[in-house]
Amino acid sequence: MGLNRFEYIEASSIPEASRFLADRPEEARIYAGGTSLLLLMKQRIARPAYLVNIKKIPGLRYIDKNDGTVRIGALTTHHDLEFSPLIRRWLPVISELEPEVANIRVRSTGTIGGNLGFAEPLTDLPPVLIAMDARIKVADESLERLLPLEHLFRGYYETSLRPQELITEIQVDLPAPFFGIKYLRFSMGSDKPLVGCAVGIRIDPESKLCVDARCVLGCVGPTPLRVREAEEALKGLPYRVNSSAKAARIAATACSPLTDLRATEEYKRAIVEVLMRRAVEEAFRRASSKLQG
Amino acid sequence: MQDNVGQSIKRLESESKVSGELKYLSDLKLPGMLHCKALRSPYAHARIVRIDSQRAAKFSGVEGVLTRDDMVDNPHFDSHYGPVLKDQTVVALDKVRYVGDLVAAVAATRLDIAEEALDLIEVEYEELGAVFSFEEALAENAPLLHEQVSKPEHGFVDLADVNPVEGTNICTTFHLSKGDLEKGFQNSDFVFENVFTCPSAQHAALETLCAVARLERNGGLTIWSTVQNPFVIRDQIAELFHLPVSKVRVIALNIGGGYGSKLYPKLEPLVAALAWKTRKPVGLTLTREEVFQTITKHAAEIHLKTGVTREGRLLARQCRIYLDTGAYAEIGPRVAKKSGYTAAGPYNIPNIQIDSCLVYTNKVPAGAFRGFGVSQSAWAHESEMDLIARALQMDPLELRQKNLLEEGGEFATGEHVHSFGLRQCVERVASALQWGEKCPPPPQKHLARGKGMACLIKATITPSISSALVRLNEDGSATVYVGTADVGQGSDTIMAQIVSQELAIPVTHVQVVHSDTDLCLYDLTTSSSRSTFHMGRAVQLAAQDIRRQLACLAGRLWNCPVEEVLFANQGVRCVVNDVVHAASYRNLLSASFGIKGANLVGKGTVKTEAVQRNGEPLTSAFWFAGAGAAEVEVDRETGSVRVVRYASAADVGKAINPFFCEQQLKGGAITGIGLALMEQLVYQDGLLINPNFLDYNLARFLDIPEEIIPILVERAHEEGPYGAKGVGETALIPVAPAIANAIEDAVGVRVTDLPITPEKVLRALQEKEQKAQLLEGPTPGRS
Repeated sequence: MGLNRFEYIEASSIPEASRFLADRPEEARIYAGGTSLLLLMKQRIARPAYLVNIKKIPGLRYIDKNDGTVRIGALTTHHDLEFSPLIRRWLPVISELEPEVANIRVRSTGTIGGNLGFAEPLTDLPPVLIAMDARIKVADESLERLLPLEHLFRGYYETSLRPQELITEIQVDLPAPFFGIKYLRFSMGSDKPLVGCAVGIRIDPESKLCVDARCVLGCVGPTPLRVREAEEALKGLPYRVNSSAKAARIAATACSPLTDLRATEEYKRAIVEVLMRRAVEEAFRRASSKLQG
Repeated sequence: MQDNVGQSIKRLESESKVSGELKYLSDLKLPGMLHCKALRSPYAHARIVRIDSQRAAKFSGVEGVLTRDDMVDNPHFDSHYGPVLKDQTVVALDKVRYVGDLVAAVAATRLDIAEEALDLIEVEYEELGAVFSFEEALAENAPLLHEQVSKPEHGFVDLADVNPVEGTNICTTFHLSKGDLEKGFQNSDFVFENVFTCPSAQHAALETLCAVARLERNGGLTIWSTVQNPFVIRDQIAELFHLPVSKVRVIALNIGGGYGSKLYPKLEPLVAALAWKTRKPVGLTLTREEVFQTITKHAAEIHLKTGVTREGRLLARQCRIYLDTGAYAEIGPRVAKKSGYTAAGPYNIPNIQIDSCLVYTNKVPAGAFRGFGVSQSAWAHESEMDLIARALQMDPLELRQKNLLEEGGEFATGEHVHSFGLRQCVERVASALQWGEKCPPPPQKHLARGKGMACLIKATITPSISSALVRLNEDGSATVYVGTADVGQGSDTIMAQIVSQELAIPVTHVQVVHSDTDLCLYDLTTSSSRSTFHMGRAVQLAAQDIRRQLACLAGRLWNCPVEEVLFANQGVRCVVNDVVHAASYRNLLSASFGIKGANLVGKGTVKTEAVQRNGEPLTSAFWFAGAGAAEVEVDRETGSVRVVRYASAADVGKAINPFFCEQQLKGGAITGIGLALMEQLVYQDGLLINPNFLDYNLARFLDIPEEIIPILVERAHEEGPYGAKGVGETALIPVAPAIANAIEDAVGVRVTDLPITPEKVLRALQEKEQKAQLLEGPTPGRS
């Protein structure tokens, strides 16, 4: 089946796009690369009457760093992130995962703003960004606000944004000293991950005890899932096989994967446990290697 | 010469493909061409109570709607067709048999209009009971897909004995036996029994299916199609439309991959009927989702029973094979037969019994798929070989070496195999992976490595026929006419290399005209890895025919014996009484005919027969021998499998273009890895739920092994051109069992149902661990 008939609109500014979206909250969808949206449209799951292309809005494709914060324009592509020296220098975990995101065509077209705003559950970036306490800048016709990325996601393909709001920027503070982060994804022959798992660990340089932790899962529920109980299980302790196994078990229980044609629920939980255990170990190692360096 | 046989020259059309200049069929836009869209069944099995297309027909832009009403008592064309059994209809008549079955079709001035008009066709269905599994299809009182099936009047010679079992869903059966099976089992020290299954899969050719039909003023039909066997389409359309074959022209342009998916009628009857109805050219290009609903690979369930001696000699093997052909027979009967022959594997087994059963189900039809049923049967026999080796505590290589079918050995059919370099294939893949040396353990404790191998025998379609024409032009260049379709395998280049070799012409001076039934002589098919052997030989004979004519001309001109005429550098030369005579072809032709413009035409035909001169049956004009060996890394905690290295060997007879042969081996290995580890079509109540490349997993670049080692074994075949045989399918067949065998070597678990997903491996590992714990548990009375 082909796409439904729709009207294609090119917005030249955020206020213009926002106004259009405000007037047609139910019928219009934002086009910011379309790599996920078009798939749903092809299956006629999404049938928007209007596609609002925001990719031509100038000034939204950049990667900057100032005042200890990396700022990524919403229209920055995965490919931009993959090859950005700035990202490689300051947020290497993102350079590490990008080559595995979807495929080269999607990475060349898909934007980070589109990726987050579409709230597709089977995707890699959100867990990693949440594990780094990323914020997003959201704008409508006249106002801008900042919100923690964690608060963006509401459900499958559902965000907390109002219809007229657009993501304009992603902000990530530079990692604190003695912070290590690892993202692990599991996939099989597919562009989409089956399970994603991001773990961030900050240790005390003296005691080597974990003083802060982030454990975030992707693909195993309607939204990225921050497993606070697992984080608590790691805090105050040095790296130990037992404690990482405990955190991993907590994560495997806390998530809510569904059986689908790729794998059963039990298997996905088993993978969550394995990935979490491995990611905790590596995040600790990275946190302590910063100690030495 | 640089272009000669044995040289790895690049494909003649490569540059035009890379630059985008080369046109594929969906680029064809004929003046006034209508666009077609098909209405497909939402039910797996249903009676069509009522169908009303009036509203659709009146929709602005619609030029014609084809429904069963056009089929009934139409003197111009028949409703039924099919290559082996006439069980298919142009559109559904009384009922639909799978989700996606063709119900009606619209031809309109624009594609979106055709698509919208589909919604206006009113169809009332009455749902019928459906069968999706072998058990359901073969159950007593099972709902029948086909109440009655007729056969084409002039069907394939090798399938004359195919008959559906009336009153059942059995499309056809195949039986083969040799020796005394029961005695064989009685004399065996051990008998092994296992069941292996493989799911249905997709060919995943990059170019989807496409066809265009135009009704000619003389009442004939011209059909462009993405088809690997244009002559079969010509015959089927001619029969359907009561036309002499001279009035049906089928043209295949360069094809973007086939792998078996582009054989036999698919869209051609539909577009031809619509072209007839609208009197305008009609084109149809399927979406990817529609290709998934059009043709698949046969799912299989294979029961093996093997008797062996303590020393590892195979004494008896029984194979019971069930193949799921979906809603229509298509070429399934030949798949059942061809894969049946080789189901016991490439071994010297004195007692064999093979029973294949091809079953109709309410699913997407299955047809030819690279390997033609042999990848299914090899999955079974090569997995079982390792199970036997393990039980006998014998090296799997040694077990194979003890039982391999050798040159001159007697095959299951009683005939003796020749030009069969299987032992070299097996031994060379083994040594390529340092067989016998343990894999170094990976640094991470959860990873384990292992090695496995598999081998195969496959037949090519026999009897068959191919003819070729070579025209020597007045300037000494050559034009070759072959029915062979270039599907990306490089057949045009191979044919040009053969002409180049025979006539001493650079390949740049050879033009290959291909797969046009008006221009080329009959060729049965571009499939079964047969083109180099059959068409290549026909082209060689045609070029040699021209050589003879040239020698005669030179002999007459210089008064020399024809056998002393030499060919070099686009010309002839001859030494007569120490005088050197030489002339370019151009000069020889104009000198001989006294005018510029004389051409020479050479013809070559290759025809194979089902019986050899010594009276033995000839199941296959040549046999494929091949082997594969895999080194895998298994993650014990996730069950995921990575193929680290893969060695692939094929006996190609003679590599006319070694690079092309190696590409076939590498491509086959990559496709095989996908089929082994991830590919499967998933149905829910008859609905295919992963009909796209998002949900249907294929091997990606990241899944390709770090190293693929292609090995060409060249045991010449006396009837092949320069000794060449076929290579297209060999490499795919052993991949899945080689990987399964390597997994067992690595972590000691066996998966018998494809694909080998990480989840299956992990579950098997967990079960193994539970069993080990039970065994290690405290034994009563012994503490």
